[in-house]
Amino acid sequence: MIKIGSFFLQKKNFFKALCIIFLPLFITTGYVIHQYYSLKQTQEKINHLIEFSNEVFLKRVAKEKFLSLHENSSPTFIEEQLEPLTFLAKEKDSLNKISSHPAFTNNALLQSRLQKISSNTNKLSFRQESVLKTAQVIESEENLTQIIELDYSELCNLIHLIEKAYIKGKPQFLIKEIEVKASNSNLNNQTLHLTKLNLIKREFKKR
Amino acid sequence: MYYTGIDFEENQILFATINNKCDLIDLKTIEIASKKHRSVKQIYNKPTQLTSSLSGKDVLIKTENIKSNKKKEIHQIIQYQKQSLNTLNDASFLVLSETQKQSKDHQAIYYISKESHVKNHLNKLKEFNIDPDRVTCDTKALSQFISTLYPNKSYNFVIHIKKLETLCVVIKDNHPIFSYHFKLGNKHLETKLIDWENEVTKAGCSFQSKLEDQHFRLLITGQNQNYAEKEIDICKKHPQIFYRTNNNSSLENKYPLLRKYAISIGIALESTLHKNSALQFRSLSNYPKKLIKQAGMKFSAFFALSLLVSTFLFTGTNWLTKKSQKQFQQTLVSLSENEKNIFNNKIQLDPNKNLKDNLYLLENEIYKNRKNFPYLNYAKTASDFLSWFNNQNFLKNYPEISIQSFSYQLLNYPNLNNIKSPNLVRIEINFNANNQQMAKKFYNALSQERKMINTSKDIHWSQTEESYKISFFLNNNSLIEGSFQ
Repeated sequence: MIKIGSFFLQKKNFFKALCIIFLPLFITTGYVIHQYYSLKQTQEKINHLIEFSNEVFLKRVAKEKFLSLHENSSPTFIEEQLEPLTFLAKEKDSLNKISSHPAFTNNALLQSRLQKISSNTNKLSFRQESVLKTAQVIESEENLTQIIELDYSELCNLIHLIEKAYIKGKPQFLIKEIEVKASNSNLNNQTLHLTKLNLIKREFKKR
Repeated sequence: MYYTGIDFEENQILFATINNKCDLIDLKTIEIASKKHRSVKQIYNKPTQLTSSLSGKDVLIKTENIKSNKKKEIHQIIQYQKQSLNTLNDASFLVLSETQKQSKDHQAIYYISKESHVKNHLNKLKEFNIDPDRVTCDTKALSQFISTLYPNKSYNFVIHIKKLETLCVVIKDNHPIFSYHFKLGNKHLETKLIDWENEVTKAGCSFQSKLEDQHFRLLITGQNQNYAEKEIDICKKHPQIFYRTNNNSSLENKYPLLRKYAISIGIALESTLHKNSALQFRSLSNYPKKLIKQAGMKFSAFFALSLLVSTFLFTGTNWLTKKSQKQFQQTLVSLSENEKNIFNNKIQLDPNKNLKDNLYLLENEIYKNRKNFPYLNYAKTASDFLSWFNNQNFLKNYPEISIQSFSYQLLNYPNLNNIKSPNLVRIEINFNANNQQMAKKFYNALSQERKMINTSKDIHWSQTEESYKISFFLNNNSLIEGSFQ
């Protein structure tokens, strides 16, 4: 004890003595800090892994869902589901009612309008362009060939049918470009002109 | 806590004990000739700090002016002056110092002695089983006594008469400036009075010449009882050197022998000072074993405490680490089970294996399945935009706005030529407005919609004569939105 005391009391040994006293604390504090950061790092890695695992899972589920919907898709979906669609049904109804009235039976303007919206010129018609094929998918561009007149709700329904509707065997459609212009028909009914509708169509083969 | 001052003289030891409030507790004298060892023991058996003092003959006082007020500079100068005082570079020389602030600069007071004097002093005390905690010197003790009990701003000339010797000290502001010691004491006052007076006069003249003819207030302490008569006598004989004041200490009424114990009281008073302010002639080689042992025990206790805290920290950290690692292992195992169920992997984690190895294994397995399916569409669709546009009631809030045309363009998308191509959608709206202010408001309202519109890209705005055109890009859907639309 005398030797320790003499060492401790020497002025030149003061810092050495302090270092000796605090050495275990320094070492342990270093160890604690190292362990803390090591655990924190592991925790972050695990959290990231869980997040990533969830992401991978969601992607897998989404892929399965997507393929179950679009697999073995019909190559004639446009011809069967889109091109037969007729538009301006409300206007057609009201024009038919008006034209049956004796006062309007020979109204040329009315008849011409009715003929125009009922004819094939107001139906969707697509031209297929730039077809790309892989073992799994056929990707093509389908462009609208003529301007269509339709009202707003019909436009929304059409877009919904193309993009969102879940129909078994429906190819994947992406609207590449759509342009709609407001226009008044001759009879002052508010109609829209669908001037452009370019679609990307992807037909997926059966796995 | 008590403080005991020990004034060791030929044939007797004078004790003075005070408490930490500086109240005088006890004054005692022990005649050495009668070998009253028991009495000595009784005194220092109290829980007291013992301090003794070196005789005036063993300590030389030297004062030096320091023309600086900077602490660091003063410290350096003192170190230098200490070295220069010990010209023989003798390790046995002890030079202690203290500083006193003066009007413009500082004064350093050096107390010079030798280790052999301290050893002799300690050996003498040892005969009486006294091992003082601290050793100071008579001159310093006297100055402490005078400045506490007989305070005076002028120069004090103190004559302390011991049995066989006399110590003359000039004291100013609590510090001794000069000291002179000669071997004529109380015993010689009757036979060699003239010699004694000559020595005192010699010291007085000498100190006066050094201090530009200063007058000294005379105070006599020590063994002689006729202080007043002696003071009057000396002052009468040398009025050009000494003068006398009558302001005696009030304690003298209570303790008539107060001045006899001047040194021991002074020592005790000095002991109450902070250890850095009080003198200590006991260097490490002479340091009291009791204190060395105490220091050793303190050191060991601190070290043991540090070791204990460290052990506690180490054990605690290890326990927490193991606990956390166990939790992590469980999380990894359950995650691997999920992976196994979903992706039919053959992954098998061993909970007893290293956590890092397991983490690495699982990481690799999950990363294997990360391949993106490129045909999922993460771009906002036209129906997304129209539905949002309708629900936002923009047009209802702006009835004066009339939309003329709307276009949606998917400019970039992952395709068979470029599977990693990002999605990019541009919207263009042509509209009419009653006035430009209304059109601008409509534009501003759209610019605020950060959820749908990519505001980090330009929102283009142009105006023609009849209408306004606004074009912007849409944000893409998140993984979840895109996957399940």
